Parts: sequence; C-alpha cells; structure tokens
Amino acid sequence: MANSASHPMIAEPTHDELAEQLFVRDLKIFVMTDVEPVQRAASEAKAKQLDLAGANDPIGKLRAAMFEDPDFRTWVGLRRESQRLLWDVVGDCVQGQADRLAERAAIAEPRGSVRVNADFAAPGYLVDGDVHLMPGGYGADYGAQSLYQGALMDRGGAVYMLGRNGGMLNDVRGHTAMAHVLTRYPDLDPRRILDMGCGVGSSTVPATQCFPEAEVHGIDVGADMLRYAHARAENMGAAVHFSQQGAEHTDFPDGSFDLVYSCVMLHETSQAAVANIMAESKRLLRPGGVVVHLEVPLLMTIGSLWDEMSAELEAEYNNEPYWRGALTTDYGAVLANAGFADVQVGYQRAAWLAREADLHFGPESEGVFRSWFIASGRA
Amino acid sequence: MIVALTSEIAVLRARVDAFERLSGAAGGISPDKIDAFVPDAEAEGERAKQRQRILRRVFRSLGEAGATDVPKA
Repeated sequence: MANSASHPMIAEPTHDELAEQLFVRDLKIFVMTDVEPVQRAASEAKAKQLDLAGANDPIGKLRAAMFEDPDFRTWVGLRRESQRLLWDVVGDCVQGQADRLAERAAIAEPRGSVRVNADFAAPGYLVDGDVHLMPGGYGADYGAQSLYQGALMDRGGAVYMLGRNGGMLNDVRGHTAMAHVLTRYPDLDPRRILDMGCGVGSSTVPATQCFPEAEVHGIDVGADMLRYAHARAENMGAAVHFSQQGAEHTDFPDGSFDLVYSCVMLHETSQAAVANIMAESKRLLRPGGVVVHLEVPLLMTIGSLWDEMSAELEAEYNNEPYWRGALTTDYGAVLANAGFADVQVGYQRAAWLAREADLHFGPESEGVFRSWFIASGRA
Repeated sequence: MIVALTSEIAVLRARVDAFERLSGAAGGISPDKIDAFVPDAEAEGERAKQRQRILRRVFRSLGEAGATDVPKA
C-alpha cells in the first residue's frame, strides 16, 4: 500500500493476496476514472438526442436508452463485480489470518471494554441488504469470539479507500471530525465522547488521540464488528468502551456526553432514522454539548441528469438504498428541528492528525477526500 | 471467453508451480522465497504499470466506444 500507517490487528496479506488486492484496487480506480467519464459523455450525448425537457421520468428514459448499449451495461456490471471481487479477495486473506488475529485479540488487561447484546435487533435498513455488497453486512455475528466481520471490513475498507483515507488506519474522517471541534468549538474540552455507528472504530480512536483525558464510547449494530473494534483499539493503546446499540435509541442516560459525533453513518440509515438520530444526539448531550455529524463530501452537489442517474445506480448496484435521500437532505434544518443552536453546515478540510491539522471550515467543498461535509451544533 | 481464459490461467499457474518446485529442489527459487519476497518501490512501480497495461488491454472496448461514438463537445 502507498501509505505505511498501520496497526497490529489489520489482516496481513501473503505475497499473492497483496497482488490480488492491488489488482482489485486498480480495477476499481480504472472503472471510476477511465471508464466512467466515457460512459458519462455517452449518456450526456444520448440525453441531448432524446430531448428529455418535457419527460415525466427523464432519468428512467435515459437509463433505458443507455442500457441498450452493451458497453454501458458492461461498465455497470464491472462496477458491481469489482466491488464483489474486493470482498471475496479480502475475505480469503482474513480467513487465513484468523488464528493470528484471535491471539492478538486476547488482551490480559484491557483499558477499554466491549459489551455485546445477543437480543439486539439491527434496524431494517441495515439488514435488508448487505451495504456496500459486503457479505453479512454490518450486523453480522458469527458467534463465540468471532472477529471475522470486523477484520473483513477493516482490511476491505482500507483497500476500498485506495490509500486516500489514512492508509491501513482509515482514520482521516475521525481526525477531521475532531479537527472540526478544534476549529469551531475550541473551548469544549470534552470529558465524555460518543461515536455513533463506529464500525471497527477507525474514527473512534482519533477521539482518544485528540482528547486523551476523555472517556470515549463507540456504538454499532454488529457483535463481530465490536469485538474486532475493541481488539483493534487495545492493540493501538486506545481506551474505548464499545457497546452493541443502534444510534436511534441508546441506553445511556440523558446528558451523558459533552460530544456526540458520527462519521459517514447517516447515509446508511433512512429519513425517519436521521430525525431519530438527531433527537437522540440532543438527548445524550449535556446543555452546551456539541454534536458533529460528518458525511461524504458530495452532499448537496447533486443536480445534473448524470448525477441523478449515477446516484440511482449507486443505490441499486452497491446496496446504498438511502444514498439519494442522504445527498439531498438539508442537515442544517434537521439539526435546528432537533433543537440545536449555532448550527454549522459546511466542509472541514481533511485532517491526518487533528492536533497538527490545518484547521479550516468553510462553505465550499475542496473536493472529494480533500474535505468532508459536516453538520454541527450546540445542545 | 471467460471459461477459456480461466482455463489458460489454471494451466499457467500449474506451470509456474512446477517451475518453482523444480527450481527450489535444485537450490534455486522456491515457493517460500517467492512468498517472502517484498517488492521494493521500483519493482512495485513496474507491477503497477503492468496492471494498468492489462486493464487497458482487456477492457479496451469500453474506452474505445467513447472515442468513436461520442461526438466531441
């Protein structure tokens, strides 16, 4: 990998596994940067021919016309197949590492904790389909002390992000959320912090690094994911308390936290869930506490026919059912409706280490991976 | 097409396996040595170029359609 940043719990590939992971990474880049612009140009040319100005369903009409073209169909198929290949390839690598990871996960004196709940039922929007086509989805629990799903997501995520998001640490989003706190709420000095939808904890550990005195919690829906997240954090020397809970309703008492945040979680939920999550964020914060929700930098830029069609394809072919809804939500209004004050909506410059970052927050996106969308406010 | 390509790769892998084992038995390159090999930056750069060449060659038609069928704006 291009970036050498890593941690002891990441599944290490063999010679051949690394070669196939680099291939699938390059295949995905090729599909996105070489093939997609050609199909975009072809779609825009087709849209002009079709004269869609008065059409009731311009996207449907354009899509039907483009699906007549075998090259377009091949591109869509490649987009999906390259993603499925990624999980298949990474899954083999993770299985080969199972014994080593189990040894590493046996921590004699843990600094943090993990609490799983066998009776917990993940919300429908996370179990109806495997998000990102990851077999088993976020909620997988392969029983006993299984770390599999977490190890799969961590290694797969690092390969998928193509080295643009903190290498094997995949932690730029977490550092960027913390950098936002330092930029806009420099007086906060949080003592209790909650990361909602923490996954393998790649965005949770940065909170312990930025605020070493704070008690940091992470919640997510999958037992495998949380067991792995705990082992990963302990192996990095970070004390985090993980528990299996949904972000819409948690078991923490009112006013438990000074800072509640999430990183790229909202677009995996639903319109109703986003309202519930904002209300829960408000309930969990003490008066004056801060909420920070970080999202993909494409938010609110959707507009052209191509953007609309591309969002539809992403939703259907990469199992992102709420993609389009998330991209068109007015998060400032949602936060205000939940009772937050001093609401801020904009783009935070990507930070590789929050405390050393160039702190910049403004209304304009600096581009994909160079800045992240953020909606924040005070309780 | 894909069936034939898969067959070719299976034959190729068997051939490489035979090479590694025979070479290893004669004190040369063995499977273990290859598994332990970590390419340096120059070698990895060469491999990246080879991957790009293969991708462009195998999926050539997807980019060619744009060059021939799409009128320049």
